[in-house]
Amino acid sequence: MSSQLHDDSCLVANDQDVAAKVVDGEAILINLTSGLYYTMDKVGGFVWSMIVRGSSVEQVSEAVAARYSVPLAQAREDVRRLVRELLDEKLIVLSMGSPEAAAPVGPAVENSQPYETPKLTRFDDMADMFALDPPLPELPALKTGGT
Amino acid sequence: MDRARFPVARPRMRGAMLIVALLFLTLLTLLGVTFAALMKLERQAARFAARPELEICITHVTAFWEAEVRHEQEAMRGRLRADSALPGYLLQTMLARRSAFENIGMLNPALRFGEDTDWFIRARDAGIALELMPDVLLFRRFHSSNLTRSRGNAVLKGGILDMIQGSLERRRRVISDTCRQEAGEGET
Repeated sequence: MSSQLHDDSCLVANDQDVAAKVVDGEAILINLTSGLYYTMDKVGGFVWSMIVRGSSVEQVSEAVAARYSVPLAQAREDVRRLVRELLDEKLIVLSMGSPEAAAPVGPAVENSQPYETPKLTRFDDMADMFALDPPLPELPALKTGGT
Repeated sequence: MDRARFPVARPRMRGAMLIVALLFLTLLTLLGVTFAALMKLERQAARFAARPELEICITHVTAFWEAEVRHEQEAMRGRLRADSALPGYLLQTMLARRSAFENIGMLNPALRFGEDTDWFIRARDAGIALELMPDVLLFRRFHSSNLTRSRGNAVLKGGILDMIQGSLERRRRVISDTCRQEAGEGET
């Protein structure tokens, strides 16, 4: 999957198997199929918020370069590496469609925020705890009759 | 028995025998359940006797599905070892010392679902001695009226993320406190 990655590849969160939220700029993600969960620091959290909007690799890279004090070439390299990790962990998928035309690329800030290479941190200590009741989005809803 | 004189006697006797058989089966089931419960307690108590430091003991669980939700069993294949016995992080499998609750705190009454999972995560974060027995000592029945069905997947996903966030914050607080403490000791 990651070998097919191009700058214009449209990135989409794997909503079927992944739950995610961004808290104070940090992204928290869990792959409900594997039970593994992940965090991404400030820059990674920003990248995730761009992916959720349906952005391309290039759009994300440009947004990162605009928001943080980092050259576009480095932002592009870091974003590509992070995106490959996200694909390997099945947290995102490549969409066949084109990126959202209206997807905002993030505002350029007057005072660029300090840049740190985005990092995906993986944890495996809770998989057994969530094994009993994994959400099953593909299941048809049942009529609930009990309490 | 003379059927000409007692035409309804045989059906009545059959009915009575059926009732007796049902009562007998019910009694056997109750005895079986009681025996299984006693066996469960006995085996878990043995773990506490073997490990004085142990505070929580849980067992594995095997799930089974009623016919009306059998399609869920198919959908769960391949997910988180759903085909086999699972670690039973449930109150139903648990035997715990009072001290566990004194150290961890009670269940969070604000949580509508997953309060037991949240409690076990807090126990792990606190470093409480917990043993997961390999034995399957609980059978969990899935049916169309399980309480957990009234929650949506969005609620469940949100709850899981909240639990992870809480655990991350607790662990980071411990690291931060430890660093601050060590820095303080270094100054003195």
